[in-house]
Amino acid sequence: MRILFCWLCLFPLLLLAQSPDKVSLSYFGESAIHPGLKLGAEWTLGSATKEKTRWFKKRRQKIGAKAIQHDFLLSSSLGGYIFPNNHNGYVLHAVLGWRKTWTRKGRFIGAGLGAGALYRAYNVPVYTLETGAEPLSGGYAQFTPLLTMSYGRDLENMTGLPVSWYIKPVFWAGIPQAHTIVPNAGLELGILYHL
Amino acid sequence: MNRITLLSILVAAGMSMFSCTRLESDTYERFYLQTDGADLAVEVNGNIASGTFIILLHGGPGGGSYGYNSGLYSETLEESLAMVYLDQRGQGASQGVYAADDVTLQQFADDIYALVLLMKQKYGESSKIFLMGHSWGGTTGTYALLNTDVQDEITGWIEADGAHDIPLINKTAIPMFLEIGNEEVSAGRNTEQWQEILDFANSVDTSNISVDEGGQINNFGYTAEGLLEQITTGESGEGGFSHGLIGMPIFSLSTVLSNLFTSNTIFDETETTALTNRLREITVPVLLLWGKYDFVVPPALGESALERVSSQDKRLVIFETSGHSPMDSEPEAFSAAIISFVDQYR
Repeated sequence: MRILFCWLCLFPLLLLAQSPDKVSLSYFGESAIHPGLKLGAEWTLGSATKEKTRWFKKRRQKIGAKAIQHDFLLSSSLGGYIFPNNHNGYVLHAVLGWRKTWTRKGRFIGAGLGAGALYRAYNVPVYTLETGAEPLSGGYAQFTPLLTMSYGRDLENMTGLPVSWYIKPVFWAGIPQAHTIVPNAGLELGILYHL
Repeated sequence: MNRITLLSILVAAGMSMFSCTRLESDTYERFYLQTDGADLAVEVNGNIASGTFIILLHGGPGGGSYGYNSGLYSETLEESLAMVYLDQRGQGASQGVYAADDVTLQQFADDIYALVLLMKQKYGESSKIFLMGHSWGGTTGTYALLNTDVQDEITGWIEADGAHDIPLINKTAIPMFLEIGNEEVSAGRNTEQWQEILDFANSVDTSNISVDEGGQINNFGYTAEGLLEQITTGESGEGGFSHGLIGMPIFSLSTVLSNLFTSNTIFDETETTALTNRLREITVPVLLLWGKYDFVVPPALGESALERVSSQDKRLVIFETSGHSPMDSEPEAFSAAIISFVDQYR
């Protein structure tokens, strides 16, 4: 488990040898409501654009062909959240994803599969019988394979601003938790800045 | 309303939702107890300075203490003593990492014993500690009394509609369905629903009740309570839960699923647990609290426990307008019975 965590930590550093295409800042809420922040970076591994001829001539003449862009991405992010009276969570995610963008207005959808690490640090005291009334800190680590979906808008074409916004539900499995594997979910609302 | 006003209201509303982790005080503490791989969530509320504590063991399995941590009964008790709300292993806010083989009634019992020992370390050896089990908490609490040394450490045992013998529950629920169901049908009240229950009850061979039938008995138990006008809704307390929405320590998908997985794992052992024949080993003072119309855990269990425990001080209180949760139906009478029992030993 420790070796896996080390690789998860190192992997984004390896990618830094190549500059990211985008950086992100997002609200990350465990169960949507336990607030946190994430910083991330995104690399485009490959891209393909398909053009379709619009049906109506006047519309075609006015706005040109319909272009849909498919991007294959690698993203990495680091962040945390606060679950009051329970724990503070520190997360590291690496995700391979796909994004489909309707380029004229910039709307996009996407999905990704990835892996992550989560450390749950309790934010209330911990006691053991061995240490008695002496409060300790405590927590535990999890490996978190994850699935993401996203919807957003690239504002660059329409406005010239090199930013996109997105909303991204994130689903992960906490391995281990209790006596088994326990799924969980969060919500990300963020901004991508195009470098 | 202009945009600035609307934005200010939205920001204020957003900030009010974000309650921070609640700070420790003279009347509140929250902590985890690490024991045998589990991190058990514990919240202490009320008159800590009294030196008298009731550790509440919640129902389930797959429940949690949070639903018990509000209402008139808890507010009344917390003025007089300190309530200790334990989330049992794998449930509520409790977490940690352990094996599936560690999800047994013996382990739940060991966890309860460990908490009692910690309470004495934390609050002093002279602290008066009572265990109170409701429903499935009666299963784990009774198991702890019989299979650990916890009786040496506690001042008394309070069992509220406790499920210490599932086969006996199933056997005694059937005649209760038949007796009260026939009365209700004769009176013309909810006849269609009661007839369904009566048809099921008549079909059950009480000398050989299957696990599936046991599950159906449990379901019909709750249904039957919902049909009875005799069961009251008690006065609610002044305060709500002790945390805001964001601060609620159990508001998470992982909590819901952990509850479910733990319930599934312990289910088979719970369904076959029958502790009646060993109740004579209980010698600490005992208070038994039962709803008259509790179809889920019939009062016959309370009556049988009263006969069998070897305690010198033992009493059974039947709540005349209650079902499975007299703390909700008759909160004043419920808390008064507990305080009267506890006060003898302070």
